[in-house]
Amino acid sequence: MADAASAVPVIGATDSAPPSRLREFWRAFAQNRGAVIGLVLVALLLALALGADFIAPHPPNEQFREFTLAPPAWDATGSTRFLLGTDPVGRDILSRLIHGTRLSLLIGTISVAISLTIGAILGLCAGYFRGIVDTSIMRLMDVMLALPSLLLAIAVVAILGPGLANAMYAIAVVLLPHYVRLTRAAVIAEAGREYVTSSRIAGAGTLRLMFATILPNCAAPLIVQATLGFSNAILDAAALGFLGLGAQPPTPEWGSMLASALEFIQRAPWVVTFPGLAILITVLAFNLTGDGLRDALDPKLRSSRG
Amino acid sequence: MTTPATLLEARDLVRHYRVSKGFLRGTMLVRALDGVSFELVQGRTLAVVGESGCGKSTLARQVTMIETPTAGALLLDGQDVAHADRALRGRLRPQVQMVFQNPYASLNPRRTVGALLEEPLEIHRRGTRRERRERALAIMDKVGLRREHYGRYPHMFSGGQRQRIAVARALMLDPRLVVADEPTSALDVSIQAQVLNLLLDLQQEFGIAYLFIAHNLQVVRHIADAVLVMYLGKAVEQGPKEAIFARPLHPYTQALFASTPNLGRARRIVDAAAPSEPPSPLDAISGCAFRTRCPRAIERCAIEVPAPTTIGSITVACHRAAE
Amino acid sequence: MSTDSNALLEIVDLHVEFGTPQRPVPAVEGIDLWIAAGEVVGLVGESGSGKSVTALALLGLVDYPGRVRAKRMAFAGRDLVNCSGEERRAIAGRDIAMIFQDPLASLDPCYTVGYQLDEALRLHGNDRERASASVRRDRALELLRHVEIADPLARLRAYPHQLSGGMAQRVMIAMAIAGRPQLLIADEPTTALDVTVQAQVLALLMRLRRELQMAVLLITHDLAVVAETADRVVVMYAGQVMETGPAPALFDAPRHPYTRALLDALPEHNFGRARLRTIPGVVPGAFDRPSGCLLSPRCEFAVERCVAERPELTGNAVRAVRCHFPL
Repeated sequence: MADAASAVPVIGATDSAPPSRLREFWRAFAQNRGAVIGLVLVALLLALALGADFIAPHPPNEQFREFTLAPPAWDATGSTRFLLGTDPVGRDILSRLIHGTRLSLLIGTISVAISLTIGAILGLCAGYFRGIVDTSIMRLMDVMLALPSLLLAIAVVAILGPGLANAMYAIAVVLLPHYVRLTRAAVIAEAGREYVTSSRIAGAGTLRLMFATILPNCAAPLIVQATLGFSNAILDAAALGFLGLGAQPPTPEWGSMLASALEFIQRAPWVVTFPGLAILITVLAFNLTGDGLRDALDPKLRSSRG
Repeated sequence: MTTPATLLEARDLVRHYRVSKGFLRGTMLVRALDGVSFELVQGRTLAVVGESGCGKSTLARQVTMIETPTAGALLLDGQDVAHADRALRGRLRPQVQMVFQNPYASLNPRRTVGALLEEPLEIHRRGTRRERRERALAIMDKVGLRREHYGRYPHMFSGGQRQRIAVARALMLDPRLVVADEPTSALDVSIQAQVLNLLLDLQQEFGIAYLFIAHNLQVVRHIADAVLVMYLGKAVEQGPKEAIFARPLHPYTQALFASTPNLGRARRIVDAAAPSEPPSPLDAISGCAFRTRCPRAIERCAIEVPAPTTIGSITVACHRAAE
Repeated sequence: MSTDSNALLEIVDLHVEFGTPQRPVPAVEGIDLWIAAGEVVGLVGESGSGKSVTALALLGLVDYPGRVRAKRMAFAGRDLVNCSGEERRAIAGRDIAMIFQDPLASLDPCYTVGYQLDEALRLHGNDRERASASVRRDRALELLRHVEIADPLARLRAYPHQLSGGMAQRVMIAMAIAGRPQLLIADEPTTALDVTVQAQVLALLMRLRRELQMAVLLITHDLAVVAETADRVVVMYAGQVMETGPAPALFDAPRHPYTRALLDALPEHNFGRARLRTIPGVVPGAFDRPSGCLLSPRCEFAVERCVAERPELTGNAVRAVRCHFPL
């Protein structure tokens, strides 16, 4: 090849190592204050869930018969022993809430994980193969979407039987069509792009094209939807628990805590308020984080050189 | 000295698509390629020239074997790939690679340069991990990229650099033919010059043949050995570059030349050398497809499709070419 | 740089920068530009030269976080720098019109051609047109005929996606001239079009310019297009004007090394050469702009003075060069 003078000029002489993807992402994410707050809250909740055994002042199911319906610590008749008061059978609400965090996060993670995995694969197949595969999958999803989500969840639990695990499967079923649709739309948009054709010409087979080439480029909307799905899952689990179809007593799940305390809403409002607040804060945290993720991962907003 | 061998030969290549005319309105046939024949010699460049709707992208898809032609033969080194089974196509694939027009869309944004370059080798299971990496670095060096670019992502590069990455990727499998689909159209003039130089250097060093799709006649003049002019799925004129640039025979080729802006021609505006727009491939035109825009059309042009005739070294499909 | 005080458009020392005030990213760094009535000026440059940003700054289209400042920016005597949004809206669209590169991206896909033309006339037409819908419709048909669109009546009902590239660009031009502008800014108007269609659209623009006595600012990277259509050429590089001059003369005898290098890189000027001449190096990025001449890292004639001291634009209204050692 030619000597230095007429050689192909080596370009890029001015660029030093650009920031890594993670750093670029973090910079975009951190610009949204709400998102950072959300993330901090999520981290807090995670810490609570992991350290529940150490942080909670009392075991969640221990009943203090002498202190049933004790008011929170700041009330005149309350005591610091039960910071948020106790429920009708004398269990410390704060401890139950903390242990409930573990349950809620578990529900969210497992439901979303199941739903996302199956949904992404179905959506990928629908979007890649089109034709009869696409039609059959999407019509099935349309049927599922036509049913009110809560009724669908109840139906699934009715078939499988009440209990926390079955509630998670039911929620996974309810969330499924959203992921399928989202993935399918993203796959259809990406499948026609030139880099996919480039891989095809390089000899990539169907599986590689689907999972290694196209799917990673569809990840952004899926990640955002997964975060938002988290909060959906928690709300649905709370609803199922409220109806007595999810976690069974004495499991300290927030929804069932709400259900068993409803009749005391006038007499001892704290029994209802605090589980409700817990649900609110958790859902808010995940929603804020999800919004932040969407803004950070949105390719239209991301600047590119050239 | 033997004449260089023909690497790629197309005989009456046809590709039709069936498209729907709308809801409940049936389908119609789009004749994207309607009987195209040409030869590409090893180590040489055949430029394909034409405007939108002429079928050059379809041709690229047939040559790179991502679609099979509806009819006709496509011979790669004597083997018919048009009707080849999957196994044969898989074996022949490494020999034909492609560089795309849009440097911002043709590289997977989620892969590093190194991963992009090594992917073709991984797919075909060539070499160990270390060998693949070495080859990637070697090719990067050949196209003017530096070692530290290995771990970076496409969005960190400019258009010209991305095209170099694309060219490097096309070279990884040691192809004998590279289809270049307007590789410099989206680049600035000075970058275009660099990339064209690179392509020519690589051709000289590795003996690669190019099927170079372009619409810029000046670029074609610099890089091509032979030229194929297409219009609405047909080859209207083809021949050696010198002959075609010296005296184009087909009215469409002449219109292309007349329409191309020229630095030397100061303050002259062409007066509609080819009035109106290129028709859509969906419109069926009887006889010669160019007659609706041709300044020299006669009655015969509406009735009879002109057959290719050879005048000198040029093959042209026009009833009035010999005049 | 002295300018003709009768100039239709006058820009003196325009600066546009992005990024934060602490770490500014200059897109345009002190350019002067003037256009006389009825003149065609070609603004050429490669990516990163700042040519499109200049046009946007002129029309007040540079959004936050871009910052625009200029010593003087005047159109037909009216100040554009300090004018209110309302005043600017009165000028932009009517007296100054702009067409863009991709017509299919610039036309609203949800509305018909007729609706969009009607809207343009409602906003920028004369008093009669603004008042009456039927007058607008007649004028819309007249405009479509003026831009050589066959069967204008049918086209009024068409949606942008039903038009070909060339036809869509003609519709854009029709919308642009609806307000009878004195200056038309065309930002890469034919880059996305086939070469035969490009020739037609350019011929159309030149014909309209003659008939409407309109000045045209043609922004492009295609030197040949400028050579064929422009009266005067302005060459930009990395946010500055490097050279200006009349059209054939500048290309026949360029005085700035960059202009020369650009011309040398064209395939048509490398006839007989195996390799095209190129410009080594890259356009300066946001944060490594030389303090001396912007071209010095890449210029084959650069000496110490070029690296140390940034040259001024010297010359007169006809011909000017920004170089310590013009060719």
